[in-house]
Amino acid sequence: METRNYETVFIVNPGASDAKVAEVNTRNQQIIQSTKGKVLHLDDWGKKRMAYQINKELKGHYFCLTYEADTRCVAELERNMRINEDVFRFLTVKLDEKVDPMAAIEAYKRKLEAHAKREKERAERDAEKNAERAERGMTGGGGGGFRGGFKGRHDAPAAPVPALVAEDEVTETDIAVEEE
Amino acid sequence: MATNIPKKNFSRKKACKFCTDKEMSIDYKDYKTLNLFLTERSKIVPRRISGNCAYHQRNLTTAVKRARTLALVGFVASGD
Repeated sequence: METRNYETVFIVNPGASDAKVAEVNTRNQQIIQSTKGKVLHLDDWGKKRMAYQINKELKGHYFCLTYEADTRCVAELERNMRINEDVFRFLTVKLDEKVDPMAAIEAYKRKLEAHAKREKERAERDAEKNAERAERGMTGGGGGGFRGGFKGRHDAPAAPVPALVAEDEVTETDIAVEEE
Repeated sequence: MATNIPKKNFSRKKACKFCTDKEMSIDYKDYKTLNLFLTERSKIVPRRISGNCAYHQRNLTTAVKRARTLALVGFVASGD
């Protein structure tokens, strides 16, 4: 039977014991191997906060399984996960045939790193800004006044404008000095 | 008599972010990128505002919908 590359993301109960989580994974592996498939990669995303509650739980333990298998295998995997009460949800996706699955995994990891880096930079910038603001608050009465305001629709996407913020900071500090 | 005065359009031409930035790709697992194209109420930003091309908007939509079933992205605004 023809095999294809698939990827299944599934959410396990965060309260489940390690043994139970391991059981889900070994079970999945057994199914794939018994149908002559191959496990390419298993990614543990850890316990993450979900966007909405599932089974009254706020968090979920995410796994991402990449494998090569045929359609029978996918059906069997999904049937098993549906039976298991510790598996909240799963989503199986057929991977792009033009892209090497390992390369795709690497690309995904690189993207995660890039996100983490950007967030760290932003946190540092925010910390700097807060420190500056606290300093100003101590000396110049805060600058006061109505700053900012209604920026278009409430529904509109928030657009980050770091460059503008930096300029604003400079002018505001200048004013504060003049007031003194 | 109908006054068909053409409206002046001051908005500049928006470019599709996925076309201009080759590093950016659409993936349902990458919810942080998807969040850039969602409103505060977790609605998908329309093409006329985000400037995406039809091809990428289509892919984005399926990615968001997949992410929603996995609770990576909400269906409605988050409670907090």
